[in-house]
Amino acid sequence: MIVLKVDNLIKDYPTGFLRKKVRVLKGVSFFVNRGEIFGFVGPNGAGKTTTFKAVLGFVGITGGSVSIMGRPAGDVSVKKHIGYLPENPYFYDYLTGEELLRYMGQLHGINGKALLKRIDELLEKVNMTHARKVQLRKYSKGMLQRIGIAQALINDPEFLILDEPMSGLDPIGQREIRELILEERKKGKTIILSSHILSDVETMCDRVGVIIGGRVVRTGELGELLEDIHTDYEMLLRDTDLEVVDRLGDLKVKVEKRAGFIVLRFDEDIKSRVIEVVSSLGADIVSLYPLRKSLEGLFVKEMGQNSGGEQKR
Amino acid sequence: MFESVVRSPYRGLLVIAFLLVVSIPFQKRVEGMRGKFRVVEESLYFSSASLKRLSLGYEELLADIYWLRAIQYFGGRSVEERDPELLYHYFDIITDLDPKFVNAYRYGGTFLAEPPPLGLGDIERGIKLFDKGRKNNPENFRLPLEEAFIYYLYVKDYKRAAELFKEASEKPGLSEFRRASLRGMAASSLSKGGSRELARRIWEEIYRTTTIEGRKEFALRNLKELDAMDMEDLLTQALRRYIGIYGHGPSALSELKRKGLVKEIPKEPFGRGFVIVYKLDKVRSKTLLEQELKYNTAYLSGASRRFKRSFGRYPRDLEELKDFIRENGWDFPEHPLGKEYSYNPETGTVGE
Amino acid sequence: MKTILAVAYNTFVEAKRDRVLYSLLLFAFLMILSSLIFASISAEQYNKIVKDLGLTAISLIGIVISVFLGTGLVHKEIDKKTVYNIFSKPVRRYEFVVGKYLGLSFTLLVNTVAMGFILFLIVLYTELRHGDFIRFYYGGNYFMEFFKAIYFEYLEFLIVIGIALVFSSFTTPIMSLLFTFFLFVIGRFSGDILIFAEGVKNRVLRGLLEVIYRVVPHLEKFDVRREAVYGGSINPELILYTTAYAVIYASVLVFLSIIIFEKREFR
Repeated sequence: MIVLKVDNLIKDYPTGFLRKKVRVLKGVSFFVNRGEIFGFVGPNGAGKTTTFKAVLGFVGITGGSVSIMGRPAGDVSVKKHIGYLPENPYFYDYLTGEELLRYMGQLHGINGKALLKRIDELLEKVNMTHARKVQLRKYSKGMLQRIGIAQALINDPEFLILDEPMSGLDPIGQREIRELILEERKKGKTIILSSHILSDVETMCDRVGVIIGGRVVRTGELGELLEDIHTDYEMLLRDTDLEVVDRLGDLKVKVEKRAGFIVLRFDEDIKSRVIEVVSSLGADIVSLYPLRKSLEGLFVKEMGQNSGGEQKR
Repeated sequence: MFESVVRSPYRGLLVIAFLLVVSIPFQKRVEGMRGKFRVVEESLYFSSASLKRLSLGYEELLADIYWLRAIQYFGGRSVEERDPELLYHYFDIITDLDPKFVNAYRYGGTFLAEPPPLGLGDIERGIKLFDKGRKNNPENFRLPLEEAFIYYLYVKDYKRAAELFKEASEKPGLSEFRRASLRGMAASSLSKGGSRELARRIWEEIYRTTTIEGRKEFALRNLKELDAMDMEDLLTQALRRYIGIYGHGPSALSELKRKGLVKEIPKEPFGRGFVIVYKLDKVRSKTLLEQELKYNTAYLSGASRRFKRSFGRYPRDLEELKDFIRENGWDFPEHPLGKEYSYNPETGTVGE
Repeated sequence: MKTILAVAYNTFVEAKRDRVLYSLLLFAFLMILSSLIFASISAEQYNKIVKDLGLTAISLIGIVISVFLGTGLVHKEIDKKTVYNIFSKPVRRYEFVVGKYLGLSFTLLVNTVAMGFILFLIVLYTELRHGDFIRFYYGGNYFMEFFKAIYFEYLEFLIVIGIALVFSSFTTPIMSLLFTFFLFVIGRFSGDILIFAEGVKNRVLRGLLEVIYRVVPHLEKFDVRREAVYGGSINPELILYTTAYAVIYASVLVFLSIIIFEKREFR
């Protein structure tokens, strides 16, 4: 079952004094299935946030269509079941963490004891109980991010939209948030999260959409996407004669000397052949590691195809 | 429902227009109770000094605003509603803020001094404003000139008028013709005070220089009255000669022409014609006669009311009223037809 | 309705925690208190000076608060991106606008009541000390008219907040401030438009001026400060019609803000 379906979404912004139109989204299409974590990745300025704003009705739609839980973009009735964490969340800095959650809960129509209980739970969950009576103006960026996630969860939403949930967090914080997100999925919730940091997505997401220059260029299971990417390997040999190099002969291997080591660089495809040759010569292998097997390769590849892709609007 | 309205600007604006229309009856009720204009008396609180400070250096602009308010306020009211004290205060403030605002003295002074319905008939305050204007604008010839008009026409102080005409004639920058004409006005005011000749020239001057429609008409009417008076004199002379010759009055005015005593019976300037008052051996313009009668009866009725204020009753008869008037040093206006006024001692009203 | 109240309450909390508000209120209180000093050197016009100065202080400060907080009302939320939090919740845009308006109106109500109360104490004090003089000069103490004058001042705030809200929903605070101030001045002199119109001969221009007169706010009609000093008829009928006018006009402004706000994009 599809929770969010974005079909050929186009968005123009008028800019400058002459209101010249700039096309920020040039036909974004993807869908999110119930119960999955969908990673929406792309470089800064690719249109991730704009897509979310269009989905939530903050901005109008120039073309295409959005269906969120079966309703059009920005539909108020749907928002009862949605949690949203904005990018770089800014909240009323005169409120305390607790007051913010209360206000946000009230906007969802949650009141009284139920609300108080929910606030306690969430503060505990995002590890912010100690700061509940502190005004938000005194919060660090990481604390704001946590309280932001807490307010997104206030209504126990079916569908979570998280814009850059990991930004501003230290590694411990990132791990906590990751666990939190995975926990929500375990409860059967659907999550879409955006990021320009690929490791976030790699470790959590079931499916990924790659957006570059206002277009979703690839969607699919993470594994599928990564299959397309050829990864280089580096092998470090200690102090060997250059005989090895000669013997590699017809194999495509780049050789260089680095700090007394010999470094071999080659494609994944010939990994086993290289290992074979090297061990047959009795060379001392210090280490063998993949250079990059990640979405970044995909980014780079796709951006190359998009002829440099438009950057920030 | 509500959202579909606010999302369509046309429908939304329609609702707004509707609400505004709904508000109009309320606006009108409030206006009915409080007046359209903010009551101006508030400005009596302000002294010019405090206003100057309030104006933050933009005194002239503030003077302009006050000027606009003053003329709009006083232009749009019936006579009873106009308060000379307030108007004087207004123009006093305006001219304090901007002492060179010559038209404010001219307009304010004339409006204050002129008799109703054109002005407020407050000669004292009008003159005060002109005096202030002359002090602040010693080079301007119009201020003494127009003040002289007031002295000549309404105060009938011909000596003071002559002084002011002379003052006007001595201002720099006048054309020789204008200077000579002003000197002439000064001379005739002094020698032939109250002469129709000078009055005519004054009214002609007012007629030429005023931009206010009402004043123009007023000046024209005065000029016509002066013409009518000249004609009355001419015809009265002829009438008296006729009586001298024939021992009795003519049966009709045309008789005077037929007997060659006048070349032509002139046309009465208001188109009403002339009548012979046999009792007084006078020829009168119908217009002037009626005007005089109306004025006299109103004046006498007023005197009778004054009598009551002093003695608690109306005069018993006309004789008592006459005595009362003479004792006070006023003139008793004779009946222009040479007869007695009718008098009702119950109501104190004097009639034709 | 609950949503509107939540937004309104938060707006009130925001104002309550704004230091600017307190400095303005402090200024108002100082002005009200200083009236006592002026009154003591006023040649026995105690009551008049206290009331004039006090009521002016309440009106002036109230209007400054309305304008300054009003012009930031919507714009600040867009500028600081807090709208993203609001509208990711089931909140309709008109609920937000109405809530914001009611929140600031309530803030002004609290402020006006507080300032009015302090002023009333001072008026009461002069009345106790110089009651004979006051009755001699003014023929009474006109407590009811005093409260009515404060009520009318509050009605004016309601309209000024509305004006600020309209501009706040489509332009920057500086521009809103300017526009609001403009319209405020026009509103304080609206009667002049009509007087001016009556003097215009051209029919089209005259009609146009009359329409303009009917559309601009008649703020001068909310000034009954003089009656609070000298007495005068502020009868229930006048209160009713003036209130009705204020409510209708404020509704127009809020409605207009909603129409504008519906079209806004939060980029």
